[in-house]
Amino acid sequence: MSILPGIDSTPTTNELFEGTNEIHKLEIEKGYEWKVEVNAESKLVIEVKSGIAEIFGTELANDIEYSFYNNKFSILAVEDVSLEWRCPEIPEQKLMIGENKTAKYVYNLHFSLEKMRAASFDGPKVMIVGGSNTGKTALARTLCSYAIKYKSYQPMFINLNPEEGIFSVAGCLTATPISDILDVQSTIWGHSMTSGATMLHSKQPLVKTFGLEHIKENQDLYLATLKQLSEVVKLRLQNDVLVHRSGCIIDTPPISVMDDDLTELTTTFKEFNVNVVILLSDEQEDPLLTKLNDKLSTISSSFNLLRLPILSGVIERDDVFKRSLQRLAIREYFYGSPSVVLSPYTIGVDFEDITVWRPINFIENPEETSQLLPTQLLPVEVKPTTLQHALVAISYADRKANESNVQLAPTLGFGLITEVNDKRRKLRILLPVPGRLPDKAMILTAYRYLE
Amino acid sequence: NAGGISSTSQKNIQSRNWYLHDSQWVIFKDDEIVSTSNTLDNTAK
Ligand SMILES: Nc1ncnc2c1ncn2[C@@H]1O[C@H](COP(=O)(O)OP(=O)(O)OP(=O)(O)O)[C@@H](O)[C@H]1O
Ligand SMILES: [Mg+2]
Repeated sequence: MSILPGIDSTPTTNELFEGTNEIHKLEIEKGYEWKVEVNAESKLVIEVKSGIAEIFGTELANDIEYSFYNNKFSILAVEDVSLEWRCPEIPEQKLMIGENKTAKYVYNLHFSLEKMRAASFDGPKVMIVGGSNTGKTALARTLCSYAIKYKSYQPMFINLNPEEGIFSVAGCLTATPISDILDVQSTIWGHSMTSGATMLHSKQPLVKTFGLEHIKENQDLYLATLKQLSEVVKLRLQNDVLVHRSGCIIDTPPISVMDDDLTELTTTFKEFNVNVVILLSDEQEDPLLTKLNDKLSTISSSFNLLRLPILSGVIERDDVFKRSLQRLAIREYFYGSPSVVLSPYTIGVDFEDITVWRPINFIENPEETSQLLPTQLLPVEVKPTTLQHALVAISYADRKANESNVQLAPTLGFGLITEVNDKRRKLRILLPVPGRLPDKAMILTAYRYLE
Repeated sequence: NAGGISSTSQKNIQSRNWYLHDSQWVIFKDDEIVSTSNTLDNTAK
């Protein structure tokens, strides 16, 4: 299990030096991009003065300040751009600016999806596949942004990578209609619904808890969770003409973490009736193309499979950075972001007041096999070693519901167990919503967060 | 008047909502979502 320590909010020493936060001017030529990396302790402020600049397909408004922290992204100049930026930790001489060689493929793909939307009430279902760091998530985000840019479409974005949290925390699979602009400043693309109106449009995700970090830890449970998500997505498409017509953009986990048989991808293909498959790869004759084609052809005869080069905006990420994103997603779930400040609520409850289940993790506990169904949840003993700092999913199932009902129940939200006091048999739980602890069953996730 | 002040300041206190139940999400219309700024460029529509 992984420990996610809290984010250190002390100001950096650089902020104390006068003059380091000076404003720099930057011109980016049409077709070029600036690859930006900002760590968690610094803040980059950008203001476009003229021209069209895009981040993951979303255009930046001119003369408005955008702030970034703990982020890696590319700013693409769609037209010649002049902008101002400031960030003491980014040395001016070291900006990474280069030509973007893949934007044209992304446009072409977008236009062919537009044609499909115009031609049918049943929009394209796109599955994006590829190795880690090939730009799958960036492509999905860009395609969603383009779809809503000129026409009032509402594509459904589906995140099947449990290591990334989009509009939610990591450890779950989500489906979210993209009904308005995405937040360029946010690593989780924006906010899920809050109790009041937010400045930027928030989104209404459907969240299914997997609970583990890695698919291999329990592939059966992953596939079951995926199917639960797809069942509900199908119903939404039946009920929502606009989303139906706009189609689905499906982001998948890196190929390396999935089964050699492509089970996860064939299941996704089948469950979501995928008809466009995009492989991000720089290998002309990537053997994966043939393999995908062979496997998917046995399921359906009508789909397009095409290869796109790895996106040129891609920036290397290590595990430390990925962890920091997961941590940020947890923090933003409870506390919001600088633009949407949220007030979570801490309550104290007795050990007897909560019921916690956990998914089986076959990698951590290989002995937990044989007699059990892989998707079965196991009871968790309430004690510090199991629950301290744990992120728990709160389900819609009643606290006393049996195991299979909990496994099938929708997710109400998440709670963070901040304190477990063995002596007094009391816990403190951080909840997103003020009020009483819902009398519902909980599922322990693999994520920990130290406030 | 203190009542007025507290009610306006309360308005600014926001929290995350619980997620919808599957059955509500299926029939949810995203048009119901309000934001204080309409940032989508409508000119091209
Ligand atoms: N225009 C861009 N296109 C692609 N990647 C970009 C772009 N701008 C920034 N990046 C960065 O490159 C990195 C890798 O991209 P991305 O997250 O899309 O890869 P991925 O294929 O989804 O990786 P994984 O399989 O690990 O989820 C990210 O940090 C992303 O923010
Ligand atoms: Mg990704």
